[in-house]
Amino acid sequence: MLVDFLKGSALALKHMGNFIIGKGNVTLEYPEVKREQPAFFRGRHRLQRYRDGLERCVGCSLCAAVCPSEAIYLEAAENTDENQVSAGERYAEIYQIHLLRCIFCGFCEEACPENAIVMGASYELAMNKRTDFIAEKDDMLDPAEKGFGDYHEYDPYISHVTPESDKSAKGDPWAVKAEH
Amino acid sequence: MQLPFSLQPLFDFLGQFTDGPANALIIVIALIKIALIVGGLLQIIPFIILFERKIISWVQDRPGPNRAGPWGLLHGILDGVKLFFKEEITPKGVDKPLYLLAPGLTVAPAFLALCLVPVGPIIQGAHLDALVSFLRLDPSIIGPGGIISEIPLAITNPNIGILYVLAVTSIGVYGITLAGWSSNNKWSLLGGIRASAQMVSYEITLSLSIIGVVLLAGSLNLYNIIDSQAGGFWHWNVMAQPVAFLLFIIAMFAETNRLPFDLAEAEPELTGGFHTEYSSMRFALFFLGEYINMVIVSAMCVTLFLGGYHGLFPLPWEAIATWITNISPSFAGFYPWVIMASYLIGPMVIVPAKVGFFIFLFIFARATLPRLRYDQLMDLGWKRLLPIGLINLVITSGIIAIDLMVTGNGQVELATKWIIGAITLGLFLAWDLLYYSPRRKAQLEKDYRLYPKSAKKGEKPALAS
Repeated sequence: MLVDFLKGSALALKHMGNFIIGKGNVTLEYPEVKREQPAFFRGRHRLQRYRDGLERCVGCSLCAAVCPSEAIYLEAAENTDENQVSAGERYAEIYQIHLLRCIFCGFCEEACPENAIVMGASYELAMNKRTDFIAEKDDMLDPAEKGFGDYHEYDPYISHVTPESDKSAKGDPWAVKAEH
Repeated sequence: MQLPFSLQPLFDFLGQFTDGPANALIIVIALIKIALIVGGLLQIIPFIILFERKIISWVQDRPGPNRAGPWGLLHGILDGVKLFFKEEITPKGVDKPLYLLAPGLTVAPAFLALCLVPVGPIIQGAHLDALVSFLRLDPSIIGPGGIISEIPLAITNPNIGILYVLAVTSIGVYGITLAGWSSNNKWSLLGGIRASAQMVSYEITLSLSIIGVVLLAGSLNLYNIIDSQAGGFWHWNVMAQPVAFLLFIIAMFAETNRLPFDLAEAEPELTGGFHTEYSSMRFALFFLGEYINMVIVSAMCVTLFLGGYHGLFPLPWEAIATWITNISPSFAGFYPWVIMASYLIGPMVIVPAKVGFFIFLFIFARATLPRLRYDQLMDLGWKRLLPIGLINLVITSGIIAIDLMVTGNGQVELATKWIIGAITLGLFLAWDLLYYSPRRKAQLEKDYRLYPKSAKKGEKPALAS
């Protein structure tokens, strides 16, 4: 009994000693160090662009139609020669996602024919006001210089991976998700 | 060496209100000691809580709280501030007088027991004389021949010290039981009942382990018990009473309701137990009481078994002081400072170090051991610890009686102490190894296991009968 008790204590002491000399820490100091997410991670949505800065979204509303929690609201408008926003005929003038209703199922990503909406790597979704949880188009749209891919390219499974870090296309689901 | 002014007029003035300057001096000395000991302990408790969270984290391979302040040092204090500013909720249907009384009843006995902890030696004789002449007080009031002839470095020093501690610490369970009862909540009530039943069971073991020490010292006075252990670690009672020491440690875990015996607040079973319905500072008072109790039982264990304020080796302080003054004439003034250091090393270094070891033991056991089931707790208390304590007491008292008869000087010899220690520890280890043989351990494991050990792969394990 005494021996068993000492054995158990020795195990706990070993772990404590290991930690004190700097081994065996299993945690990340979160706000300073952030865990990198695998490619299949479904975080906060992003709206992608082409390389020349045109938006991919053509305002077809398929994402809003497939969304099981009806979290997406979308109003389309016509592209004109003076105001060419997307690569197609129309573009999304208003694109809102209610992040409190969204269940992060990724159906929008799968439904999108243009690879415009993808689930990103960001998981820091805390806000101060309820109204802040309605993500506007500007909140989700990639910066213009971050666009990639040529017009009408279609491959949903590599859509959110840059050609440079194209690991997940080669069948590695744990490849680190690219932060655009 | 003397102060540039006398303190005597101050006490003469205060004496007008207290029927003589001697009473004023007694009150002032007591107040200073209370301020130092109680105040010091209250400052340390937030850091004990932080230390506890850190140790548990390290055992579980994580860094623990490190956000507030450097190394997380402000966490405990900020927890206190947070609890202080929280709303105090009194639920409907509580027995209000008892509900409000219970947290106080938990904390007050803890503070009362704190009065007796001897943190340093008694100042008396020539050293007291030197102190009095330094403060320029009247030697007929305070001094070797005065009304106050000694200053113990404990808040008070009654002759029945250990009885008082036992009595007062047992009152502490009233707070827990009344909190459980008055909350009008079944889980709280269960927690309170568990706490009282546990306290009754383990108080016996605690007392049995203390009786051996009292027999060895021949006194209930805590200073006499410490004096009987003077002269180095081989004189300590842990050498004479190793089994009682183990029993005392187990019982003190149970007395303070700490893991592995914290059935009164077992979170998975009782949603917090007796303090479920408490919030804000009332909740914090329960925690405060628990931690003060931890410190007190640790200090009692140190006093009874580990030589109190005595160090590992006895140091001849007066000889050291004389030697230092003889090195050079410029060191001549150091004599009183060395003597003062000899008095302060107990409260400042030795007692905190020894108590800190036991605090670590409390925390480490919480990080290591699983909580006992209630029937296992009662099994351990009544079927194991109580017989062991009784047998230990019979052997101890028998050998002490023989020793006293042979020598007839009323004191227990050092060799006798070691013989008692060797016999009791040997018997205990032999019982432990024989009783918990590999075969019985396998049987126990089988009895307590809900599912059989080797269910075939893919097969749903059947409940063991």
